[in-house]
Amino acid sequence: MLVISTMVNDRTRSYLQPMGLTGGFDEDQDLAAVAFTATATMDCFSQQTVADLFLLYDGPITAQAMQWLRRLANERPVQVILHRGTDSEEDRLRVENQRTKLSTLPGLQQPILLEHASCGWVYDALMELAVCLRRKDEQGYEAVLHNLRLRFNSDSLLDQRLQLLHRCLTAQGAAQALVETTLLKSLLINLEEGPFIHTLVLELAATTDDGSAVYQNRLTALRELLLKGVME
Amino acid sequence: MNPAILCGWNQEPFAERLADEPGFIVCCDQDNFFARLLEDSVQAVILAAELTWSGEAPSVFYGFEVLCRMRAETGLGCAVVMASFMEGEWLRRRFPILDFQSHHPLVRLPARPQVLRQAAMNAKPADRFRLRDMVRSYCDPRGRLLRLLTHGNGFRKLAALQVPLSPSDQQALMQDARLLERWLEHLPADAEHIAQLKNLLDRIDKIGRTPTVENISDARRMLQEICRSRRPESRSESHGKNDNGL
Repeated sequence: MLVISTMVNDRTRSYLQPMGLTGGFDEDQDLAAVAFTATATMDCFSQQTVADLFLLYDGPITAQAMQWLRRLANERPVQVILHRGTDSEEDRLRVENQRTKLSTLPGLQQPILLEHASCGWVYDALMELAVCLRRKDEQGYEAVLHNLRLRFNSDSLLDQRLQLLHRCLTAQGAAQALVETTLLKSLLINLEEGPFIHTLVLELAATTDDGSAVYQNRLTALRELLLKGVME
Repeated sequence: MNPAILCGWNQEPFAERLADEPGFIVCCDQDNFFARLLEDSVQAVILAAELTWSGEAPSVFYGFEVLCRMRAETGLGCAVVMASFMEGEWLRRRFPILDFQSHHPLVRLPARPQVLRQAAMNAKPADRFRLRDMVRSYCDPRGRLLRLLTHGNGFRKLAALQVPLSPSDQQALMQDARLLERWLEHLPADAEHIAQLKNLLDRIDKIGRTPTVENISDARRMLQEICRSRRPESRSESHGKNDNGL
């Protein structure tokens, strides 16, 4: 089961509460899958539960929150989700500080950065989960959870494949991909056709005219190899 | 000035290659893209489906989100070519807005810039009826409106802060109000809800002209009332088709 935890700080609470939007949750209590947790009750909460996804509030990560995250990360892989926020300097710095602080936690998966405007769907989904729980609507609960999981599970292998393909739209990009070993290495390790992929990228990088039919055909062959089985 | 073909593309180095094409304006940045859409005379748009704007991963296919926003928030009906490495049918299942195929042709990559240009020239612009239809059916105006009210920078400030609002808060509020006005045009008929939202816009307009304590409190009350009445328990309708139900 996917366990999601949302920590709400006073700033968030200050706009959610007046709009009646925290009413859907039994605040500060573990709802099995969803919880809004105030920093004050974090310790009590962390005794009871673990989390797969952790939605972090927009603010400095306190020592207490770090302690809690460390404990969670020790129990299972936990994915932390940050708000990108606005384009303001304040938010940019906040994200940078949050990332720096999180990087000191061993075992934590790379944080996902969400655009602020898109966080509405996370909130909607959490609210719907809470409603389903209250109504004991198991089917509805599973459907919302499934969608939420799909949204969060960004497929990193597919991302790498798409990144490589976009890079290879030009011969110059293919040559760059060969130098940036991390991208290619991961694909070569994870995919059965690794050696063929490597050969094709080498050929693409060596082609002088990337507008030629030969180049386009090779790139199409690379696409077929990389996306084989993805779209079933 | 001749109408341009505006490209939303941030995957390098192909973005540079597109920028070399005559008549192409390439925007690698989201804000710039939306600004140019409104400023320039745009004949057609080319969008990479695998845009990584807003920190999104390529597999999120954020280009479709940009397509929805562009259709609803700018009201532009020009042809939009979507370009992706993924297969058309697979994408269509996930993003049914592609059903409006004559207005949103899909070019499967790899493709040369000339192929993208040709697709852009051949695609049809959508008239205002088609535009309304696609936004209403596939862009989830109801869900987006609620998200704007609960998560927009300006509305959050209005709900949270005690009066008075700072000039930057007011500016954020006016920006949110402009977006609200845009999405409001696409709401399915719900006279009561629309009237409530128009009421809120009137009150925000009043704040813009005279930001008195009374006007701000008035708008805040209205916002709270709308949000309370739109909590999930009171919403039985489903979200938009390409919204994954979230």
